Amino acid sequence: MISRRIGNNYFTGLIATVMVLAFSLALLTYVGYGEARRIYPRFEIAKVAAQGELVKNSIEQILLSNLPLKQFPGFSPLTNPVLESTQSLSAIYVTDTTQQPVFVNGREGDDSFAVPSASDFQTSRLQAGNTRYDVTESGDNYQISLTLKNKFEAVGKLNLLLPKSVISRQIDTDFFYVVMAAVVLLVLYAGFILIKGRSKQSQESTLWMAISYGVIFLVMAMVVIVTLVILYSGGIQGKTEALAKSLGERLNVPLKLGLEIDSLDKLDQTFKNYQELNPDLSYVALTRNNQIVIHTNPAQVGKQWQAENGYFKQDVRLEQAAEKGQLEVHVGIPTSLVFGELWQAAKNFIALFVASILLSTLFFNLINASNRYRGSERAPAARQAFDLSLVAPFYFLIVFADSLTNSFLPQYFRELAVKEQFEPSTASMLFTVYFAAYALSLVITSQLSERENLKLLFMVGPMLIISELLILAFVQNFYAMFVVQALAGLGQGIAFIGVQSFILRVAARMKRTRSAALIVFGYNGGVLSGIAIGGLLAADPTIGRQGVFLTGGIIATLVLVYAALLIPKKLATAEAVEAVALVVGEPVGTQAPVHTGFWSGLGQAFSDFRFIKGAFFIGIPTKIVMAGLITATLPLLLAQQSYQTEDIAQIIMFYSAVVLLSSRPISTLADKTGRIGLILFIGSVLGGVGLILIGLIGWSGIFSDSTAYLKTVVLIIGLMALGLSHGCIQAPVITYMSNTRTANVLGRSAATSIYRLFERIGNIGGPLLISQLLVLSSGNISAISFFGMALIGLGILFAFRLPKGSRQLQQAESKS
Amino acid sequence: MSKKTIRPKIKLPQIKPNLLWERAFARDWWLQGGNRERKLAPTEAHLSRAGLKILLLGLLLALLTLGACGDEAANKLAVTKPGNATTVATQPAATVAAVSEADKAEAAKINWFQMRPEQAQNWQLLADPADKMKFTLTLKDKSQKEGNEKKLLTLFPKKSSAYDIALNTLLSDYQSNKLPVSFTAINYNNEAEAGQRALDFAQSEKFDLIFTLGSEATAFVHAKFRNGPIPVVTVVSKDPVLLGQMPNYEAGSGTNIAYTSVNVPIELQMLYLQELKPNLKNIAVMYEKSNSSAIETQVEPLRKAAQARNINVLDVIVVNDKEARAELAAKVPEALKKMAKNDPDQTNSIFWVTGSTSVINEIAIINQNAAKIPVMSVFPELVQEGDNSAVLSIGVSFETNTHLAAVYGLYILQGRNKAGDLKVGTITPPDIAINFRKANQVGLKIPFALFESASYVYDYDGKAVRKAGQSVNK
Repeated sequence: MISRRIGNNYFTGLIATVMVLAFSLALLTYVGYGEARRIYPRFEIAKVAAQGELVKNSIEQILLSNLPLKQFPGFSPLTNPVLESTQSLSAIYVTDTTQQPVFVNGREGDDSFAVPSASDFQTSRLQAGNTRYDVTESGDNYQISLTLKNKFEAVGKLNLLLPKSVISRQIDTDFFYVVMAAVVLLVLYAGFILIKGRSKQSQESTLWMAISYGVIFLVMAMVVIVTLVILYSGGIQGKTEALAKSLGERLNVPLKLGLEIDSLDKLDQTFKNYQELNPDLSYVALTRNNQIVIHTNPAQVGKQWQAENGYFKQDVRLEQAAEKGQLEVHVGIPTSLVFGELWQAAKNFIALFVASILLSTLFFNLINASNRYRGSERAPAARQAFDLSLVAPFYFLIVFADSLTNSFLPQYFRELAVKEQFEPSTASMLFTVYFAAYALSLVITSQLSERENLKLLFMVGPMLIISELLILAFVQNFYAMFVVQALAGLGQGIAFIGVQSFILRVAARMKRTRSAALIVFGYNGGVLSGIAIGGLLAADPTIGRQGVFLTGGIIATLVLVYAALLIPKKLATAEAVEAVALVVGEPVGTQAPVHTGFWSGLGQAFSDFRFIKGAFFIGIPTKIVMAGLITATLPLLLAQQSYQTEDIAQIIMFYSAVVLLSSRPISTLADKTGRIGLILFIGSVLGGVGLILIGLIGWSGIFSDSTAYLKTVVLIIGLMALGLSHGCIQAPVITYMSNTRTANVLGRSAATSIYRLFERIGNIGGPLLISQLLVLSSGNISAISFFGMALIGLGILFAFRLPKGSRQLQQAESKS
Repeated sequence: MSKKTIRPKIKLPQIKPNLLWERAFARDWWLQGGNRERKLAPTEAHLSRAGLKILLLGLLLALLTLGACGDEAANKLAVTKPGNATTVATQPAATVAAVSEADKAEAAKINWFQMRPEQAQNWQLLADPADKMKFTLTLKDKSQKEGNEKKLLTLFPKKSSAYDIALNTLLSDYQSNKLPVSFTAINYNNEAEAGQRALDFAQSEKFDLIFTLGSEATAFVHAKFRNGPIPVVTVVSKDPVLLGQMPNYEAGSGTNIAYTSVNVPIELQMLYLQELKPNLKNIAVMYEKSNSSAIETQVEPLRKAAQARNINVLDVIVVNDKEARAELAAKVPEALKKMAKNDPDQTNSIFWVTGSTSVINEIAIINQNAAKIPVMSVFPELVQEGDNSAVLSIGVSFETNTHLAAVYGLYILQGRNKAGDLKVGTITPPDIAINFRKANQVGLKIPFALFESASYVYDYDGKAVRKAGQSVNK
């Protein structure tokens, strides 16, 4: 029976790994596709807008001469060349101030063309700042509108209509080959691991599977990036052509009137202005018989024209009689612009890669454990490792499902609160509810976890999470969010207790600390991957927040199925369960607990200076920051600072990654050196510094527009400092508590439990405290700096030691 | 690519034969304070130029009107197949009514206002049988009268073709805007008592808006009706800041009066001049000694602004307008000599012609004597075809100013703004006209941006190649 389960699990691992890769490749393609849909239309829009400028200039020439808009002659002859040269345009039309059409020119054959209603269009997410045109979009079209003015006021708009389908067709064509590549790579990988996965040399085969996984991922990433480069290059070339043509047409106006360029002055100023209006342009030049007459770089004037490499170039010949010299306008956009645009895609790929690797590692471990178990003639130790590898994906994925929403949940709650006319700060209460429910679940399930059948916990946790995510997906009511958060807190708490109890029962006593690392990995890895992927999905308007909630629900459902099928009802190597709230990095004590009442235990803790200062100066503030800032408000604050959803996710990833990476080495360091107090002090100071840095981004006058990138750098450094701080505190603080007088008197587990209770104060109060702080500072993130200073102050207080006499008295009490 | 365009069947507007000449004269007369007799006797050549202008304008208007639109009911879009592109042309309805003999007879009762034929097609003029100095204008198109009709009063201080231009432009703008309005025009003939009666009448009849035509009416209302219950918009009036009616250009009056200015703000004017001549050293400003209006609103502000920029201002003054030609023939070379002192190459000096009839009239003499120094003007019509033209003009026409006043009035009637909140209405960019023949003769290069802003452009042969912003097919 067990054998069959393990055999099944081998294939489950294989299938799961291929599925994870398929999921990753699909996401990679999707992210690339999403990026293409996000970026490419901008080039097309910029191109069309440049052509629109041409039409606008001609119309305004008439308007500035005081003629009414309706009296503009020759709209069709003016716009026909634009329509003919730009296949992505379906119509050009002018509307008056009442949004009624005045002139319309549509594409051939489209007899049924009717000017769409202005109410169909909303401001597009493609609207860039500081442009001379508005971009709106409806379900089917993008509309670029340029305001037409006479000398007194706006008299109408010139509108250019781009069907989304035409733009999408170009992207779809290119991405068809990307999908094909993904399928081929997936099949190759499946074949490879089917062969390698059977190897008895499990370590080696796992290594090969991991390497090939990484290679496949990178190859696919390259395919996507090359596709984007090709697509973007085409878009930028089109934009370059349009800008060159637009300027060329302006310069042709005097020539067409029979005037010569030489009669005109300050063209260099015109070129400079044109470059300022189109900052992507590297140069604008005019040549006569191939000699530079005007150049935005004055040093080039007088030289022979030579096209330089590294630019998308376009030359336009002006309509001057040949005997007067051949005039040409040259414009160029640097090819590096393509790579600049790729940065966002590359950033998303890296985030995805990290999430994907973390996710796949779980299944590699499952395959590995399965192989080892089969290879070790079912030895108990191998069975333990196998059972542990079974529980790891469960915890990772259940945290992952919930964390998909982390990068935008505070904004979502706030928007709901505002919509239903609650104070925006009310939204923070929802996070308090979450942590309160989490704490409550620990109390409720602590009794249940001692029973034989843990599987119930593995089933109930995901069920609550599924309910929570489905309510989020389908109910948009602020009151319902209290239920949602309660369900989420209970679900996560129950799942945590289930996993913790499972590990305690399965893992050999000597391996419990290492096994507890599964929880560290599961929690932080799940959060990290969830934020990364959730941020990417939410940023895509076709998926949006509701789509992310549903995705989370589906993943939680898969976790439920996984638990139902694979988590055993009975554990073969069940050991005596300690009533220990096993936590991240907690060393499992050997001292038997002294059973005392709760209140007397609490009294003991309050009389222990070391215990109290550890809890109140280190533990609780840390939880306040984690629950109140990182979880409940940071995404909101970053959104207020104009960061996009995917950027918020990736910025918070730095925090999670540092916690994940630093926890284990710092715990080891703490164990080796025994300088727990010093590490906690450093952690506290680092946390304070991190918060000060995060708050700096809200201080006016520190970052100018030209140093805006520094703001993000400072923010990331602040979050990394905060991550390192929490890495210094989360595990060592437990060790610290287990070495207090309270632990000596009550037993380590009881002392730890009391400490955990104190921590919940931070968890529950954190969102309220931080949100109130922000309310007092009118929502300015700079207030976080003050909290950082307070944290440093608390760290210093923690470092404060009682006078020698008091310490001796306490030690004496402890011994007695 | 075959194209089929639907052409509206409407009557072409009849252009009054001497309209342009009238316009030019009106401006000149008005700029001199409006108290002088009409004395700009057109020469035969002048008349023939005017005739050519009329012919071209007639053709232009005919072309424009063919593409013009009528009321919204007729704005059904007709789709045709033009080949590669489908043209959807707006189809105006011929809502304009014919001008009947009765209409003409009624209009003839008023001898102090000349309504343009195209306005007569849209507006019904009704003379007041009891008061020859008052008449009303209502829209002939009944569909446009639907809704809460607004009553507008136009206050004439006297008869003037400048005010004819202003009222005709207002009529055109309000008819286009499809706002249900009626106009009442009262000429108070510069009599304070009659003016006060007009204002009392406006109050008792609960008029919605008053337009004051000309600086005199504006000054009268500024003195007698400031903070009154009816909003006022000034039209074809001199710069209210220079005249002390407003403290600055940046804020509204805070009263019931919204001011507009027919002058280009002097700082803007200096900006344009320095754009043309970045190292400008001399401005020889040409005006008539008796033209206090030009001195007050053009010469003195220019002198002050130029001095602030260390630009030397030389006065070329016509003392006796009957001897203007002889005086200018002598004084322009004198000015040249003075300018040569600090500008021997004559590359950083200009002649600046203000709105003085006797000076404008002698553009040929000025050009003959100005050597290589460009002659420029505040008077848009001084840039014209041929050699007897200024190189360039930067000014504001009455029509342009009236368009702005109409927009201000519309904002007030629609409740978008209060009159006192509207800052002094100035025109940006001003009306610019360029004669490249003259520019070539004096070796002046025109900044490209200025060329792009120009509504009127004349080529190297002195022929018009752009009129009212539109290219003229040669």
